[in-house]
Amino acid sequence: MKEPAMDEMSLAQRAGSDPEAFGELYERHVRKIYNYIYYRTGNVHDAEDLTEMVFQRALRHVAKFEDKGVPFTAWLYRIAHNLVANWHRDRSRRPIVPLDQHVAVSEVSKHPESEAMALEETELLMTIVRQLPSDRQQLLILKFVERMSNAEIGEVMGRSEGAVKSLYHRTLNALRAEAKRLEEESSASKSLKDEKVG
Amino acid sequence: MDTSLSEKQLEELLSDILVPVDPSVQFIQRLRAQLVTYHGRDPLSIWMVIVVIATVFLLAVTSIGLVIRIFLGWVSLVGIISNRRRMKSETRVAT
Repeated sequence: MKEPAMDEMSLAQRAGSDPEAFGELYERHVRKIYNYIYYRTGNVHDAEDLTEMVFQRALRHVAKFEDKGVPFTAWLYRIAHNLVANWHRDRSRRPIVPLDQHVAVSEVSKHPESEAMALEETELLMTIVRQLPSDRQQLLILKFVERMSNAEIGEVMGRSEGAVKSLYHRTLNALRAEAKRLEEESSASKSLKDEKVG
Repeated sequence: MDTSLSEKQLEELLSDILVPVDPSVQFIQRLRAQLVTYHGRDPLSIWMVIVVIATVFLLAVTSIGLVIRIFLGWVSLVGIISNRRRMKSETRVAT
């Protein structure tokens, strides 16, 4: 990330007056930003709208962008993060991710039952992920979707590598705890139903 | 879901779920085109703002001059009329 970051800095400094430089930055980052927003909003329509807003805002302010040791990517992610936060604030409910649109099934199962169970697990985990605080969601997206290292995530989130590592472990623990709680809740309600039927 | 998942198993599950998504090519191209248009329009809009401000300023100055002229004309007209009235009344008194 270090070498392109240097190159990116010069592109970012030219981007205010040079459309080609901004176009190059756009090509490099549009997919990352789209992915980030897509996983934060859960639908293509809002992901497209917000990605558009991110780049329009970036274009308006790129001339004021200064090299303060923060990479251009981090600057873009912060714009995206703020816009997503506003988007969530404007909505009282959180939409459910249309999993069938993006979930990668590595091995196509020949058994529909196990496939259905896998989908259920995926849905449950995705629901839990979406209930996490925004910084934890951001961390998971950067780590798993963008495959960033802890140091790179730290640059984007404005935290140290150690802090990212610690947040990551706390996030995994929270996911496991929440999964356990939901599992217990569902088994309790299931046994209650069985008792009523019996 | 198996709640006794180890950290590694949970990570594997997350890797399967959180995968990169490709935006549509049309969207990427449309947004790029929009941004280029926006980029081209930006300096023009600054000049437009300057031109609008200058025009408003000139119109304001011109209209102030006109208002002052009308006011002075009205004052002088009132002065002429009152002067004539005064002269008429003086002539009556004299006769």
